[in-house]
Formats: sequence, C-alpha cells, structure tokens
Amino acid sequence: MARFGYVEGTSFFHRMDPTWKLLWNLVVVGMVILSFDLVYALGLFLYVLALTLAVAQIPLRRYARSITVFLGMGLFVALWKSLYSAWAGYEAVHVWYSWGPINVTREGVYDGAATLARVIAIASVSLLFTLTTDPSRLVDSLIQVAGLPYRIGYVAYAALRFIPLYDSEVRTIKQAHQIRGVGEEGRGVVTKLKLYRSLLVPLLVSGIRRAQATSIAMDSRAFGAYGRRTVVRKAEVSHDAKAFVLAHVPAAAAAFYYFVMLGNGVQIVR
Amino acid sequence: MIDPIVKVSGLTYYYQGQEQPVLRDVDLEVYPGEFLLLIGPSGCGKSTLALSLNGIIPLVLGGRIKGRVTIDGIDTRGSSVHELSSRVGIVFQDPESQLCNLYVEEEVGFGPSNLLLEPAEVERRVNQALSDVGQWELRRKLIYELSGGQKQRVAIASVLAMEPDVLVLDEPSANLDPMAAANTFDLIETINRETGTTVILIEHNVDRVMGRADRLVVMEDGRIVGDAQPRSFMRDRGRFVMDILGLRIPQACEVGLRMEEKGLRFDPFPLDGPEAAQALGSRSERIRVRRAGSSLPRPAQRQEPVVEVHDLGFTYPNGTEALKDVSLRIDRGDVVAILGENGSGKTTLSSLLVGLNKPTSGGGQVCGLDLAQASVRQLSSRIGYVFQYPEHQFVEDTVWDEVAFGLRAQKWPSEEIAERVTETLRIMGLEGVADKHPLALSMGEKRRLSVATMLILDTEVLILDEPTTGQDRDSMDNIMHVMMDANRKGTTIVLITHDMDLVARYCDKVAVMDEGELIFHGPAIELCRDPSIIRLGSLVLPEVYELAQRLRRSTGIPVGEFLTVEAFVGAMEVR
Repeated sequence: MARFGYVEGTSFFHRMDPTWKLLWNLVVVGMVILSFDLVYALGLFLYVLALTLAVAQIPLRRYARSITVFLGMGLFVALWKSLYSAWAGYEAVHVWYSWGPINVTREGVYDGAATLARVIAIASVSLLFTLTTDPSRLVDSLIQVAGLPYRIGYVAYAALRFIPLYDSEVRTIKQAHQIRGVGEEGRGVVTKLKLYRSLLVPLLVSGIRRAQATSIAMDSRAFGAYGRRTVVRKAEVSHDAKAFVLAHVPAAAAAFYYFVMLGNGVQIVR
Repeated sequence: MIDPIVKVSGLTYYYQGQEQPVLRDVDLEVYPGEFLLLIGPSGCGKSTLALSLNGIIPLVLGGRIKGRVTIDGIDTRGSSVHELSSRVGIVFQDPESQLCNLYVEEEVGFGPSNLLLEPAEVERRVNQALSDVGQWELRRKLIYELSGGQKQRVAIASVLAMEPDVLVLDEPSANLDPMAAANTFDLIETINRETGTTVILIEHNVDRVMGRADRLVVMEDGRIVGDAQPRSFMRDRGRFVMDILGLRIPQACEVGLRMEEKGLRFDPFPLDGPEAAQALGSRSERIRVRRAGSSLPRPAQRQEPVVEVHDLGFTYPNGTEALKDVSLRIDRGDVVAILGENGSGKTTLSSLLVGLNKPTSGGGQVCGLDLAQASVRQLSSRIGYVFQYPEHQFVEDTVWDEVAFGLRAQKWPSEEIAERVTETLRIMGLEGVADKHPLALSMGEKRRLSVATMLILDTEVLILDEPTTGQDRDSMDNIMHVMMDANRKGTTIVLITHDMDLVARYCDKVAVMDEGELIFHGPAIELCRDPSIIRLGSLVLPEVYELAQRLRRSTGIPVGEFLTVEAFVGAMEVR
C-alpha cells in the first residue's frame, strides 16, 4: 500500500485536478499501446520519468521502490517472450545462442525488450498519478468535476480506508493458522483449497460485519440525506492543467494516424 | 415538569427473520441533561436499544416492532434517520469501523456536510467538536495513523459535530488501554456538564463511571430490570447485578456491600474510591484491621525457567523497532500478565515466543527450545497461543472438529481424540454446541472454544491475548477458573491484557512494556507502588488499592496494601 501511496507535495502534478490528470493518464497509456516499437516506448517512458522526477519532484529512491515491482514483472514477461519467440515463426531468425530446445534470437530479444519498455512506460504513467494524487482529493474531484454520484464515490473512498485494516487482518489470520499447524498436513490441492477457505471465511465474516457497522455509522450521521453534500473543498481545474492535458491530444492523434491508419503499429482486425 | 427528551414505551423488537425478540416491552424515559448509565450482560439488547433511538431501528434495519420511541416528541417511525441524526448521535463500540474518511477533518465534517450546511458552518463545527474533545491539533492527520484513544476521540467529535441533544456511547472503553479509557470517561462527563448534552453510556467497565451517572438502568434478556439512582440501586441490588447478572460493579460498591454485610451502615453508600475511603474513615472506631499485612503472595513454586530471553530485539522489515533489549524470565507454574499501552510491543514479544517472528537481536529459550532456531511447529507444541479474536483461529466446520484439529494434526489415535475432545468440551461448557459451526456461536462461546482448541494440546505454556475482549465478568471468571486448574497442574499462564482487575485477582507477576522496552517485571503489588511505571504503561491502579492508600493517609486505620476486594474486606473486622 505505502509502496504506491501518495507522496505529499506542491508540484504542478500535485496541484493538477485529479480527474484531468486521470484523463492525461488515459491519453498517454493510449499512446503507449499503439506501437510495439522499442525506441518509441522507451522514449515515452523517459518522458514520463523526466516529468515524475523533475516536475513532480518525487524523490528518486521513493520512485525506485515503486517501479521495481513493475520492473520485475516486466522482466519476467520479457524473458519469457524472448525465449518463446525463438520458435514463434520468424522468417529471418538470427540465432545468437542455442542450448537444447532454447534459442536466443535477435528478434526475440528485441521483442522482449520492447515488451518490457511498454510495461514500464504504462506503469510509470499510473505511478505518476498515484504518487501525486491524494485519494481524498480524487474523490472530491470525481464527484465535483466528473459528476460521479457522491454515494458511489464515497463507498469507494470508505473501501480505501479499509485496505490497511484488511492487510493486517490477513496477516493475523495467517499467523493464527500457523500456530494451529494449518498447512502442515500436506501439499495436495484439497489441502490448499481448504487453507484458502479457512482464510477467506473469517475474512469475509469480519468484512461483512465491518461493512455493516460502517454503513450504520454513516447512516447515523445522515449520509445520503440529500442529493448533494456540502462542498467544503472546491475542486478547481486550473487553465494550466487543462492546457497541459490538451497539449497531449494532438500528439496522441498523430501517433494514432501513423501507427494505426498507416499500419505501422498495432493492427485493428476488421 | 420537564418533558423527557427520549421516551420509549412498550418497545418490543424482532430483528429481521428472528423468532425471539431482542427487546421485550421496554419502557424508558430520559430527561434533558441527564447522564444515564446502561448496563447488562452481553446480548441483552443494550446496543439494539441504542439503535432504536436514532431510528436505524426500524427505518434502516427493518424487522418487526411494537410500541413507540419518541425523541423530543417526534415519533421515530414517522421521521427519518437523517432528521433524527441531529437529535441523537451514537458513538459505536469499534472506532475503527465507524470512521469512513482518510483525514480527521473530513471525518468530523462528514455529518454536517451530509446535512448540506454552509461550508463556513461545517468548518465552525469541525473546529468546535475537535476542540471539545481536545484534539484540534489532529485535524489534518490521517486517521489510520492515530492511536486507539485518539480514534475514539475523533469518533466522539464526529458525532458531536452533528450537535445532537442526546449522545449515546456504546462501550467506548472496550478497545482502549486503562488510561485512555479513564480519559474518555472524563471527557464524556465534561461534555455532559458543560454543554448540557444528555448522555446515555453503555459500559461494562463501570469502576470510574458509576459515581458520575445520574441514573443507572439495568437490562437483562431484552427487558429493563432496574432503573434507579446509582447510589440506592447499588446498595439495594448490587448483589443481584454482581451475582445473578454476572456483571462488574465498582470495587468501591463491592467493598461497601461486603462491609454492610458485616454490620456497618454507610450513608451515603460509596460509589467510588474517595467516597469509600470517606465512608470507612467515618466509621474507623468500629473497624479493626485483622493484620496489618497485605494480600499474601502465593507460595513460591520451584524455580525453573520456562521462558528465558536476553536482550531480545525485533525490528519489522519496514524499520519499526518493536522490541528493544528485552530480558525476561518466566518460571514454570507462574501466572504472568504482560501490560502496556496498545502498540507498546506486548503482541510482538509474544509473537517471538511462539516463533511467528524471529529475533533480530538477542535470543533465548522457551521450554528448552532456542528461539532463533526452533520452528513455529516445534514451539507451538510446547506453547499455546489464544488470539484476541477467536474467529481468526477457527479452521473447521463444527465445534467438535475444531477442538479435535490439533490432536489430529499430531496423529493421535481416534479413540483417544474422542475422549479428550469430550472432556475438553465439558470443561469449557461447550457440550451442547458440539455440532454447531464455530462462527455461529455467541461471543462468549467463541472465546471458550478458542481456549479449548489450545487447552486440549496440554502445552507447557499458554498465552492468552486480551481474553477479556467482549466478555462479561462471569464468562471471564469461567475461563480463568479453567486456566487456574491447568495452572495447578503445572501449566504456565501468560495473559496479555489491559484488565487490571484480572491482573490483581490472578497474576503472580506482571511485566510492563513501553515503546518496545520492558520497563517493569515483578509482583503486581510492587507495580502499584511505582506511579511512574503506572503512568508509562498507561495503566490505572485497582480502585481497592487506591482506597487502602487513602485510608492509610487520611484516617488512622493501619491497613496494608490490597489488590482485590476479597483480601481487603477479609482483613477488616467490624466491632
């Protein structure tokens, strides 16, 4: 949770309205998925990285801690791809290294690297969002700017508060089971299933109880009394934020034209 | 005559799909500005009654209802929950689940915003309510970073911000350490006296509340079985509350009752420590102290360490240093309590003893096993651990299987398992529910079941984490009797608790933790003599100990030090 959580700050990205920031996120992610080109994906990643470090001023160490998870995931996919594509039917296969059934080819490695670049480019955009967005402001903005009904927005918000609670509860239950020697009877599928069930049942029971207690407590404080609530903190969309987001739209359109319409990137199956 | 602000008449209520009513023909009138204390065994309908006052019952939860509830003349059934929300505010038992925002400020402004008040008014109320509970400086904090006591105060502030005429609090001290609980009671009294808010307080832990309430209402099995001023009620029916209902009454009242049974008569009947000291002092000519001594410590067992750790340290992967240089020795056959504020390292220490975590520095042995080397499996065959919430430990579908689980895992022959399960169920009073699902049991039964699953393993040491959670005095005593039986057979008992009464009655020794360090280890009586440890451990002294102290200082009665009412009264002779 804390690994991806909000880092306080006052930068341009911190101040940007969360709904618009989300929009910008979608535009950039859209740009990334248009092409399989390694250099293109890498370029976008470096652009977002520069924004994160220089503009949003996220400390490098903090950023590294968050991105490494995706890096690990991406590396795994990339490795698998570079080995797999060896027999995926390339026309001109440049084999670099061969060991038994495994062939490391130039095309395969390029493909793997491109995939890795795409994964971290997408991850970096989402990270820039979560690292600079206070969840509380996000909910305010989704309700005020995006017009989300507040009843729905608030339920999501309350759920967010419960994540750390669940986290520690799962840990406690696992320990409680460990004490009782659960999971030592064997490694069969049935045992595994039973293990998950005995973890899930108490979690669900307490989850339901807690959800009910929360909803009663919310009702008791007049939640849902009217169609609106008092807006204490007004969500404001600055001109700069709008300009920044809109400036990316032509770039995305151009990328779409080049990669999709001219057929240089992803193919749309008709 | 002033009209009651709350008027409940002939209220009978069935939860949806239930055959038995939770409330049976309840009549209650509460007057503006009153401080009403509501007590009763768990499951007697106290919380249900609370929910019927702000319309959640029946407007939100449905169910069948007879009779009526009016708040300030408004019939709840003809009203709406949001209309009632600014008349009756409820602070629920678990502060964790009633807080639904990330920031303190938002939480307190949540209700007023729902009422569509002007932003300036919302802000005024947030500031006012947070100042009222003395936590204004917390307003920009994240809720999950607060301590239990702070969360409780934020919960109270969030209800005060609705500016209710009636404030209902459902066991606000249940999750707090003794000092935080005492502070919460002070706060509630201040709110009542200074703002004139009517208070209805539901509470088990009545030692420091009884003397502040204007009225005491007692419930049993859905009915109100007593409704009077605390003073007369405690004198006339204190025994009934204690012996028949199995509830706690203040130690001062217990002393009062027992001394009156010995022939003294107090007027006024004491409700708290200072009053009891006054009452006894005024009768000093008739009291003779049998021996100037104190409650005798139990005869020393043979001194064989069963737990012995040196300079034990533990740091969580995120860098939190939860335990610092703890050296502790527990002898076989001891009953030891580990005390301290929430987050002081009590649970971390016990997690190391059972092998759930490995020490990051120092080390030691438990039942001859090296803490750094032994696996959870090896340790847990010697040392049992009953978790705070029984549900967390349940893994089977029936009570019988649950109890048998541990022995089956150890591959015992099935006839022997059957024999021991039957015996254990009998000891724990669970024979009647052997075929039920563990999660379908009552709170008290669940607790007994969780104890049974560990007791059957016959381990050398048994750790109980907060065994009092959600327990009446009676069911707690039942569990402790079983524990003491096991102890007489040689089992070492370790209690992690906030409950000073439990400590006073059962423990030979106490260990007090503060910020990961062991700041005290010794007999309970020595702990009571050290005010700085009491303060650091966020503890409060047993009322009867303070009472004896007052007597020694302010009257000529040469009483010793006492931790329990039994011992105190036993040393008093009336001429």
